[in-house]
Amino acid sequence: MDLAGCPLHMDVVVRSVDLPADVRVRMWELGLHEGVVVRATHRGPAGGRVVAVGGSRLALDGATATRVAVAVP
Amino acid sequence: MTTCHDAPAPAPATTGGAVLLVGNPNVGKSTLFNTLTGARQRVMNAPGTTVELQLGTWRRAGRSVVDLPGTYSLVARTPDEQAAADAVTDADGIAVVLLDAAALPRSLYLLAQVGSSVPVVAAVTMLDVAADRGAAVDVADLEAALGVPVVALDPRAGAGPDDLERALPGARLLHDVPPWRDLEPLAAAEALVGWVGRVTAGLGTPPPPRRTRTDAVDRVLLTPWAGVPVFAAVMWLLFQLATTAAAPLTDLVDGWTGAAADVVRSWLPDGFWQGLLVDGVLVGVGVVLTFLPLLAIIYVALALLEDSGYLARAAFLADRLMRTLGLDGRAMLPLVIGFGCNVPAIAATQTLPNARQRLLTGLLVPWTSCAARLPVYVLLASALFPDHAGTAVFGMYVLSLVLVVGGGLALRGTVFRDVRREPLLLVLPAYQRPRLRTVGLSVWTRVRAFATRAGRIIVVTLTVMWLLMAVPAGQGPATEVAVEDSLYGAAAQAVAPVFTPAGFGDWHLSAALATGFVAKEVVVGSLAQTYAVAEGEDLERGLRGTLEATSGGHGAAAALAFMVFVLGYTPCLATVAEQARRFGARWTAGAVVLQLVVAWVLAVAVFQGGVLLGSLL
Repeated sequence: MDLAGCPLHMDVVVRSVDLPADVRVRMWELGLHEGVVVRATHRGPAGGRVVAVGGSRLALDGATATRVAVAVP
Repeated sequence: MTTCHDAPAPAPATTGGAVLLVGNPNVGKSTLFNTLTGARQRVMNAPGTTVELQLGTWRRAGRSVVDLPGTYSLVARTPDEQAAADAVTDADGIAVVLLDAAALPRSLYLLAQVGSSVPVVAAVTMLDVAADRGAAVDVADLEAALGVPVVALDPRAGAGPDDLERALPGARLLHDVPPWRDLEPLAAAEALVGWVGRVTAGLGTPPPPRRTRTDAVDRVLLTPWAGVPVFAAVMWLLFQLATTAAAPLTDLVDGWTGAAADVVRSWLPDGFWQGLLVDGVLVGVGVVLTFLPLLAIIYVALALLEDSGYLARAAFLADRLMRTLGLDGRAMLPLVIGFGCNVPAIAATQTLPNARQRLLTGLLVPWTSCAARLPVYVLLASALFPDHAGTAVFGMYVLSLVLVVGGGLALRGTVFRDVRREPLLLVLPAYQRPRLRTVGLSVWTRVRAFATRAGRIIVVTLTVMWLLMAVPAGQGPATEVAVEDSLYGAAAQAVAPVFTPAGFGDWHLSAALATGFVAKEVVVGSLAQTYAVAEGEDLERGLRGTLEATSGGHGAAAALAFMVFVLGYTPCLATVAEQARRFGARWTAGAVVLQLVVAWVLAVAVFQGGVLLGSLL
């Protein structure tokens, strides 16, 4: 399951991120990385997702959301 | 092993040097800067870049303050983040790092990077938002965990600067941050996240995410069925502001400058000096002043959008559309405003978080067909193809879009190869009520910067243009000089043959284009002046005659080519001045040349294509 396809308002844990290293670094900086529990809160246009990471909200485009593999903890 | 909970190291001396304000975007940094410095601030570019830094004086603390661009990390991904990272690396004072209580781990990550090399004071904002999300932060606990001074701030209410001032002497380095600069970026990120985890572990277990008021609003504003229409309405509103809302104020300022000119005229005898002062310098000052209400209105609108948190949502909604050009969704705003007026559109590029994207957008804005070009299209279309004038004018707007998209793709494939299609990773701040004082100070600073920096370029150029029109070519000074006998007219006649391949190689038209470089609003008036007729049917007849003659009987094709040239070349002097202020003289000169070349090539192609088509039909 990936972030683009996971149901809204369900806690999921990030298993892997299949993106270039510099993008993964930025994801670590923003708190979205392997092992962290997140929750998709909104759907946006063109498959975009808004994700609750701790107390903050992070918007991802659809293509990026599909590269983040998640699982039910 | 040393942990963050161990006793802090002794404080280093922290006197002297500037106070750097460092923090994530939307953490309240600029609001704090405005509170600390009041109106005692100015804008300057970071060395060798087009990134703006705000400098000010914190009079109560007797310190200079630098408001750095918002950043998530000192491992920079954009020129703006690089400017912030460089400032921290070169710092000889202390840094106040603002922490977003509602997103504490993300803020602590940046604090760790800054505090490992610069003495820091941490200032926690958004405490109310965090409490609303059930994740209240205890400032005393955080101070104990970090070992550096921590103060609570509410920049929007102006609360906390006194505490911050008292805390400054206690600024110190963080003592147990891993040596992240020695590690590979990914390893450094993992190490820093580990440090953040150890700090936050001492603050209690964070509650699970819960739905907030912001989430409830976003349930509507982020969905395609409601969010896109709302976004379109916001864009429409910005367009209205750029076209009609400022008009009464602009007319008022225009009236004042006209009255001032009359007064000066009554003081000075007729002649060269009166002309220089009134028709050169004062007209230039008037042009600058007439832009100020429009700019102020657009700046207010942008500040409200940014301060409220909506701008980030607009970026999310428009992301897919702008991604084709490698641009952030926020680039939609300046491009829409550009169809009203290019000057505030260049100013609106400030909403983009990346200097290269601001530059790219700023180079595309002049190809958005501003309202001032419309009367030129209408005049030419009515004169040469009255039965299809509407279609011709509509076609110009379609061509404008093609130029923006095509120009963007071409620039991205050449000098902007570094502007890539980046994955969207956008932090959405909580919605907040904008503060009048913050908005007012921000607008005042930016309008003042336009008036003093871009204004100087406008006044000098317009004065020089007046001189060219006032001095007769090849003769001594004269009191009354017909346009065609002036240096300006001579230059127009010399340039006219350049436009022969485009079908409009005539001095009336090249003189109008030269005037149009100053402002497209005066092109029609300039044509009427050179034909010595009133605007209307006589002018249309004159134009028809000229274009039929210069084009060998293909007047319609020549008219279309002229319209295309008007769309493609430099929109106005004020736009050039604003570009020069923001992007520097080199990029601006390059943009002017590029626009002229593109406009000429397109005009020639349209005319030659029209002639060919005419011969086939």
